[in-house]
Amino acid sequence: MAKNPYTSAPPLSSSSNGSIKEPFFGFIPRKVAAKDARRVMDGDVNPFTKQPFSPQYKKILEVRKKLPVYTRMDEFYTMFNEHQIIVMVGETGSGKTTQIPQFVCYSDLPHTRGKLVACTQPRRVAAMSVAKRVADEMDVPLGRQVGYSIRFEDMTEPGTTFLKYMTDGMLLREAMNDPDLSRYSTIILDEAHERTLATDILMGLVKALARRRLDLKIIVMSATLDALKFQKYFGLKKDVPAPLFKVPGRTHPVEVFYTQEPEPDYVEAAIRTVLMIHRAEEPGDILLFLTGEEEIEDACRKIKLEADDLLNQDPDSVGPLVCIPLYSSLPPQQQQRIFDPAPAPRTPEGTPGRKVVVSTNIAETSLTIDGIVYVVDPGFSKQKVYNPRIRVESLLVSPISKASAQQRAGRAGRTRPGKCFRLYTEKDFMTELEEQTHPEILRSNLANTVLELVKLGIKDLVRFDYVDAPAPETLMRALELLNYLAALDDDGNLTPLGAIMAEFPLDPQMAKMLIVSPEFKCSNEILTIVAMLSVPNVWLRPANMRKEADAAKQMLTVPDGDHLTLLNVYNHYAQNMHDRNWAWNNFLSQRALAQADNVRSQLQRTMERFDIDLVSTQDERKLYTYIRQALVCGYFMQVAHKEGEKNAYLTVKDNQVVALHPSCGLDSTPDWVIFNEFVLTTRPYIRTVTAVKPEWLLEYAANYFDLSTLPNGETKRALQTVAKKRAGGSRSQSNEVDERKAKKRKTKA
Amino acid sequence: MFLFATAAATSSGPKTYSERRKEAEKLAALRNAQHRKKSRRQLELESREEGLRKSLFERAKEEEEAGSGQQNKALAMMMKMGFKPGQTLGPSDEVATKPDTSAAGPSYVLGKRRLSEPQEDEANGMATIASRHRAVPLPLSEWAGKKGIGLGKRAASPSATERLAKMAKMAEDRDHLDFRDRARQEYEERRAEGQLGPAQRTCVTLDEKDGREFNVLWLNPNNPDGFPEGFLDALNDPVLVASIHRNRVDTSLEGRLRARMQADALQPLTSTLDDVESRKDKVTLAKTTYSEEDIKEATQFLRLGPKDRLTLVLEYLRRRYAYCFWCGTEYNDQEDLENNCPGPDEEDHD
Repeated sequence: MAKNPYTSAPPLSSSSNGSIKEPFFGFIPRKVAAKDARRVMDGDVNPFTKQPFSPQYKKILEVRKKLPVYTRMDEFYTMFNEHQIIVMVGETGSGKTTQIPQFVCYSDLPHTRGKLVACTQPRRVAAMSVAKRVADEMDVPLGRQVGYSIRFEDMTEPGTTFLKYMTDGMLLREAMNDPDLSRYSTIILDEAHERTLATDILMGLVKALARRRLDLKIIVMSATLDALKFQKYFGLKKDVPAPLFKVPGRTHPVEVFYTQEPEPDYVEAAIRTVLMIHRAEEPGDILLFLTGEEEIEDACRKIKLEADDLLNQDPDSVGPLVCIPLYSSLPPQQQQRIFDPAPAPRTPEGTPGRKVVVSTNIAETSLTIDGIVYVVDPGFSKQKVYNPRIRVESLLVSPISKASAQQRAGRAGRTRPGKCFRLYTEKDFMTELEEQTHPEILRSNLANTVLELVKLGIKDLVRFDYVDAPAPETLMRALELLNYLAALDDDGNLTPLGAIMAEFPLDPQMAKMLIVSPEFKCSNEILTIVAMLSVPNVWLRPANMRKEADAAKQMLTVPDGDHLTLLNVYNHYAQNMHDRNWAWNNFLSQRALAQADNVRSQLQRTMERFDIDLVSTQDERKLYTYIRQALVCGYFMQVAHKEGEKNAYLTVKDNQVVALHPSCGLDSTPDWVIFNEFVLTTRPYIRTVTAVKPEWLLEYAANYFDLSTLPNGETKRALQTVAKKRAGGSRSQSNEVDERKAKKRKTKA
Repeated sequence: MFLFATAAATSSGPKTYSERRKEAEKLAALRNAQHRKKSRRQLELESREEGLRKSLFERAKEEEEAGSGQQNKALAMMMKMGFKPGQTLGPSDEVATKPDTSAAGPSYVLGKRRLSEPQEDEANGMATIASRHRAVPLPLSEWAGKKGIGLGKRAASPSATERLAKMAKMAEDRDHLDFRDRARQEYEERRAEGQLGPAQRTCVTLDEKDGREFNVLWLNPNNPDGFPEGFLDALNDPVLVASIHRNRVDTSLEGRLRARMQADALQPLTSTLDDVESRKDKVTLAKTTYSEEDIKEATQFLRLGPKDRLTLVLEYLRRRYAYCFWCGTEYNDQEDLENNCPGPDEEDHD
């Protein structure tokens, strides 16, 4: 049914085919003028499939023609033909994400040369939905000529796909095995203003690549006006900035209001403001920004109560109101509710209803909600910040930046002129808020990134051309971890083990434990645990059924550790034939479990590629012990020791006092535990925790637990006691160790 | 230390007054210290501050000097790539060098605004030259509570409007209780009632020592005689005033009669110019003693339950005098209080 890509003749010569004229006849790659491209788009034959265009295509084309980007096609082609690197600025609604890659295809003609055009997106959902839209616009099925590629899901057809939307992380992973990205004729980095970690690294890579590959074209697209930074960065010659292609957005003016005085309670003030708008302002939906799930749910409840009161008191002048929460941990069906229309008036002639969306900052960039006319901005968000000194990931409420505030205000002007109510004074806006949000590279753990960079041959991580360089201590921590995991040798060179680790789209600790797990006869189980750790939280805990949910969780809990509990959950899920009802009855997210299933099979393929056996021990009683030992091999740098009378845990080496996360299922407080994460929210917590034995630490991570380098303290004394006992213990044990070490050497070789 | 001191004192014959006074002071200090049990939260905070203070380069250096003498491997790798501690990462023509990263100021600010020290952050965090590369990790900063932007720095002393808003919220929260909560609430209210007396007396003592003549938080509806002269009449809430009068200890016939008359008393007609004049005087007089804000605040305060009133009084003591009611200790300052008191709630002191 599908055409064989190997037999289909190259389009340029297929014009001799007769009846249908080759639409691209006479086109020379990268010398295409806008009028020619327009002629083909307006034609009757799809130049990429040679099929007649569908009526649907014509309809969509009319809509596309109204996009600001479309009207500037001539300018774009002139600039694109002349320059290797372009910085493009187009506000939301300009159509840049959907149109520019298509324009590039009409000029590059990648399908005639076996090349691809890549367009990166910071988010998986965006990559998927934009690819779908563009496939429709080009009148081709999704996954053939136009496709997408995200972690654990590849929706492309090698040889056919020539326009690929992908997450920035995926392009980075591709660069690992093809540092010249030779498959691509043009690379478009979209949403560069969001400054995600992967986009930042890609900018450094493609800048260097542009010097090596003169045939490669690069477009950096940003939604904000501070493009000068990118222009300067991508100026290939010193002091000559990269050219700028600017397209105005299709936005309406937004009037900004400030408070006269600072607000004593921003949540309360926000609720008050929403109700004030509801009572006094013209119809139009409201978007309120708050910081987290609890705050949002609470505000929704209060707004609803007050609004109902208003409606009862004064049904003639106040319309009905719906309040919809929006945050990332919300199930997708509920996230969809933000697109519901505002409620209808109670009587045909009554006051129209109003929709209020109360959201975290995901509505700031990621999601566009049409119909929003009013924005209420208290000026806060929760931000992830990694600190290398104590190796903690913090998630704390902090003031937003000016850039963020502007972005939020802009959300009010999507459909018509809007208003933005800032719950702080104008003076505080000027003096208290920072200019820009810190790019992700300054806020992240870099272990993963460093391994990827080393794999793709970047040797000098110190002098890498960062747009904004991270703190040196963050790099130091990353190198330290990779060295202890034996992914890098002492000179910073990639080891064979490290090369395999880099192939797994996982944190290095996880990759390591997966690779060594066959030695512990539990690679089947470790694979499951890794898959479960790679998907969103599987536990559901609806607000009105917390007790029932906790009871259900208790039934599945393995008291020795949360990792084992995750394994248990997956196994039960598999035993129950992936039954949706079983998951529902046990308060588990069917979606997350299905995703885990998919991730598991993807990772299994990677394991097969490197001959990593899938085995399970026959000795049931030892299974959990083996698993916990394998966990130690990956996570020995994330160990906490119980000290003091209050059952406090101290992280080894960093001596941070931490508590077990409330979700932890351990039934006791073991002396030694490993943890998957150390997070700082309301308090310092370790999350996903499993009990381990100190002997294992000394045995499987002797380098890290080198007693001569450990700081003096209770942890060291405890380990010394264990070490002494081991030395005095039976010979047979040490023989076992030697055997295992020998085996390890074999697998490495 | 203390035992040794007393032993020395007793051996040297009879004690002078000043010696005995010093001893008593020491004893008090010791008791004070015993009250200060470190809470879990406190330990967490201290360890975090300690951990964040030192850069990894410093730590590596110390370990090298103290331990095996071998250099930190990760740092060695970076040095091989051309890095020197104190520099930023990035292309060599953009690298900024700072004299010493280890001298970097606090990289962690809890409960305070990170932005309250923007210059410092700028100087430490971003390299001094036009470079945008970072020399030290981003600080971890926490925004305390739900205060809006612009109020971060003023956390220490809430204004009257803030307190009013808070009281309004407390009153509102009480209305949303369900049946079960209400039963528990009643028990807690009775308990709080008992604790409120001593707390308010402490408040009066500390306030008077501080030179304050009046504070809304001193008011106790069960003790109308404790109200300053004429204050009750100034409250324009008859229901509240009546309920307070009912609490008057003076339940003699005379007293009740007086109260009755007061309530029923006819207001003078304000038809003549004189009267208007005199009333004006009265009003301005009242205003000078009790501001409108005081009246408003007092009305709100007295309408609250004992538990909420107790919360407000204790909060005030903590913020203004660094005094913890549960510890029974007046700390030197806010920092001392924060470091040494286990927490603001009674449970923290179990």
